[in-house]
Amino acid sequence: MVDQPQSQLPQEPAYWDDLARKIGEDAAGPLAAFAAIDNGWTGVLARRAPWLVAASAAAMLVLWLTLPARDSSVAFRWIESSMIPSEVAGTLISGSAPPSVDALMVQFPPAIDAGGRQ
Amino acid sequence: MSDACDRTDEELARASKRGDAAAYDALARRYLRRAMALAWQYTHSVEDAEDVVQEAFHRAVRSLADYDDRRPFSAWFYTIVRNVARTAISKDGRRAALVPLTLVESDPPAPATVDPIVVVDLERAIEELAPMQQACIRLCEVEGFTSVEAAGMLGIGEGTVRTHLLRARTRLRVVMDPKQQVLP
Repeated sequence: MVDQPQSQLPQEPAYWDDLARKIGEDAAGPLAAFAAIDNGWTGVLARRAPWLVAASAAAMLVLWLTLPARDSSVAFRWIESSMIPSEVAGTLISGSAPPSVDALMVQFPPAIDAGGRQ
Repeated sequence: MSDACDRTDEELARASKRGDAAAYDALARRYLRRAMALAWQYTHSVEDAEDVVQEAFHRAVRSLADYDDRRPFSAWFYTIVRNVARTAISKDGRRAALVPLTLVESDPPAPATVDPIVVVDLERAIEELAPMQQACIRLCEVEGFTSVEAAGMLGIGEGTVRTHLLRARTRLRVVMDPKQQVLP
């Protein structure tokens, strides 16, 4: 004869209902807090975040496709001109005496603006 | 309210994170017996297992915000149950002799010498198995969980559960019938 091992756990449905009820009661506080957060404006925003991100990306794409093309070379020309080594500047920097204002005005005329006008 | 039975664990957990008490209740009822069965493997006492399960649910609901609902809820929850159970048995001096389930790969104890005339107590035979073999045999053969469910509960692979089950059955056969040393 062999004793069949039985489950060590209670079999009465009432026991499980009672335990589930206790666990539910214990969880009531945190769940209410979750609900409060979820119904606040941050919760609403968070729920819609994926859609908002997608809509923003789509709007950026539409803008990029529909806006007229612009000449972006102006900015690069300005940077390029400012990077050219200047012999005059080298002379002034390495000179024994500081340059006068008149000398600077002659050597460095007013800068050319982005549109090429003086 | 939508039928909770049709919703996955992850959907129920997601709804619970939004404060849906009905979803949490459904989730808790779905996992209550499994959690008790798992906790019992550590505590070997219904009362202590109940304490472990209540504490595990207590921690789970407070940590729901940290739960990533793209991952299986079961693995996340069973980890909590196992951690709470380990903490409980380590604090409880009365069960200091109980080997934690983490020490599962140790060799099983030598088979008990059984007088064939004496009635074989299968329950006692199970208690002499290695801890993880005990857990697998109890969860699958006694509580009726599948090897996949037992693997999830114990945090091991399904193949490992099958191996433990095979070894446990082999050991039990030997213990119950010492003459039967070779399995069919």
